[in-house]
Order: sequence, then C-alpha cells, then structure tokens
Amino acid sequence: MAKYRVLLVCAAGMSSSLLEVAVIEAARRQGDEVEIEAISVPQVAVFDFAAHRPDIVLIGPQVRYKERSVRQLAEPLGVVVEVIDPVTYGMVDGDRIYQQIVQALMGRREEDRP
Amino acid sequence: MAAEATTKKTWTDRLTGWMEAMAPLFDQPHLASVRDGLAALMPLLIIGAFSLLVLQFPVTSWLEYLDANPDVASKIWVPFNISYGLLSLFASFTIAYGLARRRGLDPLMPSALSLLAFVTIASPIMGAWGEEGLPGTYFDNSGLFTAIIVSLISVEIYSFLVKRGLIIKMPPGVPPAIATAFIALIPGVLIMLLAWFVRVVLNIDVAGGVVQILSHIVPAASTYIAAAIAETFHAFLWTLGIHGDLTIGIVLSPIWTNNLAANAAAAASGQPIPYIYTDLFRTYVVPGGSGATLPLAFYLIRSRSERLRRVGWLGIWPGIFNINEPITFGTPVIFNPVLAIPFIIITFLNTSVAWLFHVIGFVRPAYIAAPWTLPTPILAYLQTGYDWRAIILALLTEFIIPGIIWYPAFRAWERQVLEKEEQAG
Repeated sequence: MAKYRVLLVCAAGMSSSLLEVAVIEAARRQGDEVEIEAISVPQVAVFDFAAHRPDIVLIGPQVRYKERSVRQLAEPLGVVVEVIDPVTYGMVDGDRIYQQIVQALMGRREEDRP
Repeated sequence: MAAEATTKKTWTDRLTGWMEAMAPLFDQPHLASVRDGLAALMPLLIIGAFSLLVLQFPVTSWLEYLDANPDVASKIWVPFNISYGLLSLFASFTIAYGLARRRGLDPLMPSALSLLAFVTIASPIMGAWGEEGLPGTYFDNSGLFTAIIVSLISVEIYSFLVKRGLIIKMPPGVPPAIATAFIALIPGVLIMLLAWFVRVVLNIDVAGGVVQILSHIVPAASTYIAAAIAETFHAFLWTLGIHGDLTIGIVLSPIWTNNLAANAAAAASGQPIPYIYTDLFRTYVVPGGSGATLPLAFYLIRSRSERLRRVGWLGIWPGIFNINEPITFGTPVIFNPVLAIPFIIITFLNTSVAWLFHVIGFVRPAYIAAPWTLPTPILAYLQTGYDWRAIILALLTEFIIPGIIWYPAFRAWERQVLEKEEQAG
C-alpha cells in the first residue's frame, strides 16, 4: 500500500475540495492512501514547504500562472510540481488525477526522501 | 487533423508566453498583499453588517418598535460602528501582515507597528488623550488608501532594517519571545519617528491629501465604462483558463472595498447610497459563477451526450453556490470559441443590465456585506437590505439572460461533441 502526501493549490480552496474527495476515493479503490491538503493562491507565498514536505504539488488550471513561483519554492526540496489538466479538473476525474500522482512519483519516492 | 493540432499549439504557446509575462504582476508582493489584506477584512464587514440586517429587518412592528426606542437601536448599531468605523485600522494590520509574511518576517510586530504608524499619520494625538488631534476622522473607509500606503511603507522599512542587521540582538539564552520583541525596537522607533515627523512636525495632512487625490480616481473607477471593461476582461481571462476574478481584483479590490464601506456608512446615516460598483454588484455579474453557467448546466444534464450530462450534474450543485469550475473546465468553456464567446457576451450583458436597473432606480445599490457563496437570489435580497426587486434582477441575470444566450451555444457544442463521439465509435 502506497501513501502519498499531496498539496493542492487552487483559487479559494473551494472547488478543489470537490476534487479532494474524488482523488481520495480513487486511491482507496486501488488500496492506496492519499493525504491531501488544499491551499489557496494567497497562501502559497507563505506556505512552509520545508515543514510540510508534500510528495507532490498539484496546481489547479485556473491558477496555472503560479506554476513558476511554486516550482521555485518546492523543487529545491525535491517536491514534484504538476498542473492538473483543465478538462480532468472540470470533470472532477479523481481516477485520472490519481494516475497522474502515481506516474509523477513513480520511482522517486524511496530514494529521494530522507 | 494535423492542421488543427498546429493551431491549437500556437494558441497554447501564445497563452503560456502571455501568462508568464503576467506572472510577476500576480506575484507582485505589494499588490498581492493589498488584495489579500482586503479580502481578510470580509469577515469583519459581514459581522458588522449583521447590525444593518437586524435594524432593517422588514417587519413593520419591529421597525416601529425601533423608532419608538432609539436607545435599543443605538445598542444594535455598536457592532457596525466598531467594524466599519475602524475599517482602516484593521486594514493597516491585515495588509502589513500579508506583506511581512511575504518578506519572510515574523508578522506580529510589523503588523502592530504598521497600525502605530497609521494611527500617527491619520490622527495624531497632540494634547492629552481625547483633547486634540483628529480622533477617528480617517479610521473608517475614508482612510483606507492611506492605510494601504502606510502599511506597505512601514513593513518595507522594517524588512530593510532587519535584513541589514540593524537590530538589537539579544545574547543566546534569552527566551525567543523577548528576543523577538527587541528585534522590533529599532525599526519601531524609526517608523514612529518618521510618521511623527511627517504628520506632527511638518504637519502634513497625508490622509486628507490622499482623500483629495482619490476623489478624482475612485469615481472614475466606479463608472459603468470601468465596470463593463473590467468585467468583460475578467470573462475573457476565464475563457483562457485564467482566474479572472482574482486578476481584476489585483487592481480593483481597493475600489470595491472602499465603495462597499462607503455605501454601508451612507445607509447607516440615512444618506442615499453612493456607489453602484462594489464586490456586491458582482453578484449580478457572475450569478452562479463567472459566465452565469447555471442554465448551461441545466441544458447539459439533458444532453444526449453522456459525457456532457455528467459535467452538467457535476456543475449544478456547486453552481447554486456560485462555484462553477466544473462547467468552465469540464464542458469546456476554456479555449472553446463556441462557448467562450457567449460566456463573454453574458458577462457584458449582465453588467449592463444590472447597471441600468440601478441607474433607473429599480434596485437599490448593495451595502450589506454577505458571503458570496450564498445562492444568488438570497444574496441579492440580503445585500440590498431586503429589496425584493433585487431578487428579480438576480433571477434575470442568473437564469433568463444566460438561459437565452446559452441555449443556441449549447446546441452547437452538443452537436460537435456528438459528432466526435460517433466518429470515435
């Protein structure tokens, strides 16, 4: 059983709460566990990536412009940063987003984390 | 097929380049701190607005009772007077807090010092407490822009001194809470000195001057032309998949907050309500979410395409509470001219029709702050101080106008989706 820590970045932290449930469900069906924290854009600048150490940051498509600043904050800590595909986001397609998480983190979990 | 792929790629490329050019603006620490600091005031504005909701509750016997018992009414006014009457004090704290955190500082002392500087600039006490000076004059929304300027400058001074190491360092072993307090000492003295020098020694009425300057800018930014351009642009941004509300808020949120507070103050003192364009006016522009997509969601759930039906169901429930990302991204509206064009047209029409209804006096401008996630007709009724005609405008902008515009667009898009689904087998 794999366990993933995901940080979700969206506009007001509201529409992503729909997504949160869908992704957790999708993971459970695979027998995995996902822990999701959702934050809004204004919180990004002050979020303590070092203390929280998510495995992956997923950025909502409507706030894609944050990608670069999130990368600057998260990538030095070995955190993967990806943007969610707009239609997947709109369809609240938990399975596909879960796949995205698994693929992005494939092979880099054990060796990268202290 | 190949040609289509190429066009799509150029579009995406152009957009990405454009967004990257814009990114520094979204991340600009001062603008973002102002926007976030003002957004943090919303709960205070809503709390204060409860006074208005209670005082104006539309039951005749209650209103007559209040008229006969002004002492009861004046007690109910207290939460309003304290939250709206001291709005700029709160703003000087919340804005400084955001900027201090963006600058990597412990935000407590910079926020407190910003408050100190703002009070000094806006209302220096010259004699004994309460004897002289300008008590409260600029503590309400009239000092809002001064609070913005003062809090940004005072945090920058603080940040500059701390980063240059111009602070008192306590020897190791001193408890952190005490050490932190001493760090604030030199920046605090300097910020206070500067504010005192400008306001008291030079006797420059900064807040009054700012009000003078803004008396030319705010009305211009609160006109129909400004609103129509800003709102149409916000819709256009959404069709590119960019959060339009956050983007126009970078520039307009000080104007919206100022206007909302001015409206509430006017209503409280029985004056005509001055401003149409506030956060609350946007209730009629984006009912059910930007692009007023609730009727589109209703069409989608009856579509012959299974995929579209699913998007429709996903979009309806959040849509009632004015959240519509499932529709915008799932249908999708973004990068899809068939739906993007009506999305923009509806936003423009809603702005125009709502503005017209205000100008002819059919609906009272909104002045009671309420959470934007309330269903639009309820929100419209509350924010106008129980004006039932606001419900008519809300239904018009949430269902009727978008219902008409979305229908042909929905049919056209459904036809394309069905064709593609048939081709795919």
